[in-house]
Amino acid sequence: MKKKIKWLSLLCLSPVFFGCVEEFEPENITEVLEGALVVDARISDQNMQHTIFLTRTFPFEAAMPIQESGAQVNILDDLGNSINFLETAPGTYNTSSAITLQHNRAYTLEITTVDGVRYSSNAEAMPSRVEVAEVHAERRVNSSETEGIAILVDNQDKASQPNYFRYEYDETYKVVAPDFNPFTWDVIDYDFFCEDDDGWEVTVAPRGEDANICFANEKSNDIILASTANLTSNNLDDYEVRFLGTDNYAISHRYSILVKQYHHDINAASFFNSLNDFSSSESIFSNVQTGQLEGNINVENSDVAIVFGYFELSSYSEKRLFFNYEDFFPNEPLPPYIINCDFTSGPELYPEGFHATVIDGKVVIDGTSNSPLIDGILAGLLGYVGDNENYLEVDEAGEADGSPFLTKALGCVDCRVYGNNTPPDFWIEE
Amino acid sequence: MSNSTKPIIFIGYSPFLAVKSSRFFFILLVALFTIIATRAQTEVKLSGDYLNTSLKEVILKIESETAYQIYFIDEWVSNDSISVSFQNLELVDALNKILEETTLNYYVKEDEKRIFLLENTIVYDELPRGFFGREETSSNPNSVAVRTNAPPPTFYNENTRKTKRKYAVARVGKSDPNNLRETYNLKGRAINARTGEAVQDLAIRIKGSSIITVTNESGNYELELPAGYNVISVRAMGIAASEREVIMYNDGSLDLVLEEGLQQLDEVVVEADAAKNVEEAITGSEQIDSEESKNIPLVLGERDILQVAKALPGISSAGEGATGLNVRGGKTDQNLVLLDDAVIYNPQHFFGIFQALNPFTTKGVDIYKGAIPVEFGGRLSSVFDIRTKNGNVEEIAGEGSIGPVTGNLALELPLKKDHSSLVIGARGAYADWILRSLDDESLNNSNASFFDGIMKYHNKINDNNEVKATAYYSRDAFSITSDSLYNYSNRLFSTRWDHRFNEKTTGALVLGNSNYGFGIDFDGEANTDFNLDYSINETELKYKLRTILNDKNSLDYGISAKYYSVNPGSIQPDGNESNISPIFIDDEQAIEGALYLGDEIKLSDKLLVDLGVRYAFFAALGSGTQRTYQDGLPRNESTVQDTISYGGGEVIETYGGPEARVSARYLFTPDFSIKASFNNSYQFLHTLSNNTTVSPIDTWKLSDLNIKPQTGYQASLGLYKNFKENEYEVSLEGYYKLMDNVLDFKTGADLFLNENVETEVLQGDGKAYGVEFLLKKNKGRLNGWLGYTYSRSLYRFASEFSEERVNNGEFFPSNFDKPHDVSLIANYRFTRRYSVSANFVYQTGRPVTYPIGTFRFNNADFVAFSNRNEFRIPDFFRLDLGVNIEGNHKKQKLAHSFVTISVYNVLGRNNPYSVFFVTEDGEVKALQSSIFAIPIPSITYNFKF
Repeated sequence: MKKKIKWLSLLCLSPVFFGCVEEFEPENITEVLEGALVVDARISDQNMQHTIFLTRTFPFEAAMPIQESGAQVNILDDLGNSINFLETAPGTYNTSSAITLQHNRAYTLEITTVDGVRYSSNAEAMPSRVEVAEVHAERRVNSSETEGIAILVDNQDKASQPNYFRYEYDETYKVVAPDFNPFTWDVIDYDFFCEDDDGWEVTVAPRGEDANICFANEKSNDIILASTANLTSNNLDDYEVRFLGTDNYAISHRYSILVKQYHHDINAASFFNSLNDFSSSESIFSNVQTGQLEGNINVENSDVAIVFGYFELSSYSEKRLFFNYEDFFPNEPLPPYIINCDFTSGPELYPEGFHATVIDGKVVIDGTSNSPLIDGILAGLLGYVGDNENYLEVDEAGEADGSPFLTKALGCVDCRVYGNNTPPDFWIEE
Repeated sequence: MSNSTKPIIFIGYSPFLAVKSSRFFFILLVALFTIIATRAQTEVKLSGDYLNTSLKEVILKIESETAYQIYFIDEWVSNDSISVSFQNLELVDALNKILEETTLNYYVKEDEKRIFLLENTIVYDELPRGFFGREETSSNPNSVAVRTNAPPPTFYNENTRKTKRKYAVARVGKSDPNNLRETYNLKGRAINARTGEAVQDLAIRIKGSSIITVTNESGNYELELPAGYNVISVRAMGIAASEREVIMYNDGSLDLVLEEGLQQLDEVVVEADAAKNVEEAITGSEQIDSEESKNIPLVLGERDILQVAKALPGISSAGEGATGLNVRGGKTDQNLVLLDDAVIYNPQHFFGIFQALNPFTTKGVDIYKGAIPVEFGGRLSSVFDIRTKNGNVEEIAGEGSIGPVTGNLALELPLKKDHSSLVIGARGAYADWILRSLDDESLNNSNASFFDGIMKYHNKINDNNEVKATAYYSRDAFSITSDSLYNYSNRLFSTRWDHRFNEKTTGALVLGNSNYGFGIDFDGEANTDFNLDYSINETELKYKLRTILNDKNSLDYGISAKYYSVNPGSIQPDGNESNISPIFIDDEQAIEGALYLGDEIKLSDKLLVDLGVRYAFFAALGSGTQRTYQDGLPRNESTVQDTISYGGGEVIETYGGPEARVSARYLFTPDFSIKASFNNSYQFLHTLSNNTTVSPIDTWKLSDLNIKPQTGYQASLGLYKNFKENEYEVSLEGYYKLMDNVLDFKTGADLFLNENVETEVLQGDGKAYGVEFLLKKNKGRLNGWLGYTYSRSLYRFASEFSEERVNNGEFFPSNFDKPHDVSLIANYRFTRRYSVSANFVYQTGRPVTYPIGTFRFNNADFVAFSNRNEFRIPDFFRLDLGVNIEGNHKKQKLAHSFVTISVYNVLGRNNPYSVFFVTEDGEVKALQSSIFAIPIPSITYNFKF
């Protein structure tokens, strides 16, 4: 199914022959939809405290959805038992304790919002469990001709009907700061009228915390779908969940990925598929039939209310994988660091043209002059790499060097920009 | 005056007056005053047996065996050869037998032992009644009674008619003294002198009388003429008006060979016979002539009858660059496009920008968008009946053009003079340079090319038999990314045998085969190379007949049968390294048949009714597998009940039913009429596309166990009026249309290579209605037309299940619902050589589904779309201008040339073709695309020899 989508999207790559594609401002038509309810209810068979998110649709200009507070949320099973969800934060509804939903039992989600509109889902069955058999990595060249590491997943099932899976991953990798320095900024005096009356001041001192080796963590944010529908057996072999190019820093030292497999039914698969299609680019050659994306939740007692979202039940299985760079690329150069650390700079303590005058007994700094050094440190941009030996020396033009320190981007010096300096609980070396 | 010795009045005319045959002239003059009317009696018995012997030889033999001398003009007897045999006949009977099949009569002067052969006429051996006054009337009542039916003798003096008539006076029939009537029946066929084609809808009028008739589609006519001298005048669009003198002696035939009306060449006219629009019974029909459309400025100077069709009311497309036509609110798959009787599935090249028909070999197209004639069926919305020219049967002719994108050559080769010919056309595109010259780097590697070729054989074996055969192939190949090559092709073959059984009945037997296919070859760097193929093939046998039962009834009836075979697609790995797993979907097969009968009934001079019924039948055949779904549940993977396997040829499901084709016309005055029609139809195959536009990878799907045929009903009513001797035509036509089981697709449907397409499609109902206004000026320096259409096209997918519902089950506008549509096509001729033309289009913007907000799900933001087609893109308008320069009109030159300089989209209007939305960096961006955002100039050079 995934492959098919790729082929069709080949058509999308082409702009128009004699025409043009340009951006335009759509008329503001957001009011048409006065905030439809969005239900994000993805419940698995894990024994845990489950969460359902309720929001409203929001205009393009807005950054965040409006949380839907005060709703009554519960899940009914086919025996009439009810599981209540309580609002723990605006728009976030949790079960009061860890619960487990049963396989092959049907559940219905029911929501009543504060405006009295009732929503209910279709009865959904909890799919049977399919375990992740193996997660492994392989060095290969991918479809866009990039060399790298593919994270592949296998599973096996004897059911006669095809299986549909959604994957998420949680990857953790070691970050080693290339320009680590045991010293770091200490005193930062940004008050021109300090008691010592010595103007602005920056000092360095030995670090108290380790900032050399860190553990970065990233979660998947795209929709990864697989199925056995087009396969001769009901086994998924070598399905690529993640591809990391050789230019991806994540694989530089030691890398770990937790592959999370959600086994859901075909209707859920088709919903996620549509969701995926809607956000892909398109052109005249491939217009996906857009429209209101119908999920499995219906409005019960209103003609105007609209609901988006899905009540997904899935059985869950996960597997973790570790590998080192040398396992696949022995004696080969490492991928570049996350940022470019070639550049060393020396921001001045006082800006060029800094000038202060005394007016009515007060010292007033002219203009909006700020200290480039102190501003950079306070903004978390600069890391200490050494003292400037030429500080305050006068050059041939008669100008004094105003840079007390040599600096680099903070991420080059302090890996905590990218991760945590303590290894996570699951971390295993070698 | 004595009754026994009446003088003979011998009436002669041109041959013996014109031919200076002194012997015969003298004899006849003598005879004029001396011959006495007596029937020859002779004792001589004659026998003979002649096979393909010249008449002259036979006559001379008779002369030698009897004592008679026979007089005749060589011309009369030299051309005929006869086969006759007789035993022991008297001279008179022998002569009767010999001359039976000729136009010759004879007169025996017994006492002089002379026989005079006469062409056409007879010797009147008595004067017409009242010749010498009326006093004898009462004295011979018996004679009067006998002669009431006799026509007066025809007097004709060539010398008094010194007009520059090109045509000799036609003499028809052989006078039969025993069967003299006041009127005789004349029939024949009208033929275009240059092309040898039948001239249909030629108006034939008898001067000085109200007798008028019109030739039928095969150019045949029949009318009753007063005996004797008549002048008939003929008129038709594209035919030089002319007059013929005809002298009627008896029933007979006369073929009219007609010159083309040269004044037509420069005009932009949707060809119609002078008053056809007013007179015929059917509503919603249009005709476009390929040659005459040449002045209309179109993109890149390509002549394109399908683009011209879009300028007519009721016909549109989703937008520039959208393949397919939407006729009266119907979907693009609802048009039956025929090229020489065989279906052509994709008559367009290059995403609909060019027609896939060679403009030089194409004669024209008849479009039926309202009342579809009973012989056609299988599509709901319209019929485009495209015909290829018959080749020149006289001499080699050719036509060609060189444009910025295509080169084109067509040749007409006579094979047997006046009988058969071959037309060959080929056309190719060299568009690659345009793509390469664009700034956009991503297009520099793309290429696009197309080709179409056609060959038509035509043989008019004789008056009763005509054979035609057409072979056609077109292919498009384009690649947009460097690793994929797309192609699609049409192939068709048709043969047709027209046969005239008798004066009343004509028939045509048609055998056609069509194939349409597309493929994708993907050859990238990775291990995912594949080839993909889809094809549909159909073979049709059709036998249609037309019988003119009597003055009032003309019957059309026939039978047709079609066999479909569809390969819905397969994917195969390309090369050993490909990891693609092959996918095959079962082939589909079906038969479609129809039986029809129509009667055009002329109830009175004013009221014409066309009644037709057609029975359509369809059977989906195995081998194959079909799923059944639980009743009362939406069709999806979880409601599958059973999977049924069918063996080869086993019937999976049958559909069908009667279709009515009814129309009526009432003439208020000869140039003002009202018409109404009703028809319904079935359509058994559908296109599957999740695109809003038809792209070459749209697949055709046959109805099966789960997908029902579409059905449609249309009623229309219109008023038609011509002014100033048909110089202006005005029509106003309204229609209302209902459709059932129309296909649309669930949101985000994945249709390609899906074995269970029924879970992705919706079948709902549609309605469309509109009013079409058309004003045409057919003649003069300024000609062209103005069309305005108000129309709506709405669909509804109502189901109790939300997944099978669109827009809450309410009617919503289709993708091509464009309520206001104005088209103006105008051509102004300064001189014979120079003319300018303009083409203006305004349309309401088409409906789109807008994103109306964002929703957050699964930690990502997605676009929330409005109800389907709730909004519209901005209105569309475009102006094209062209200058047409005819080559000089010198007689001595190699070829006649014609240059078109045109600018498409003069205003440079950036007409949005579609709007779409992309999620980039978590942000939703709105983009609009247009096809021709700038003025596109072009020069095309056409030549003709």
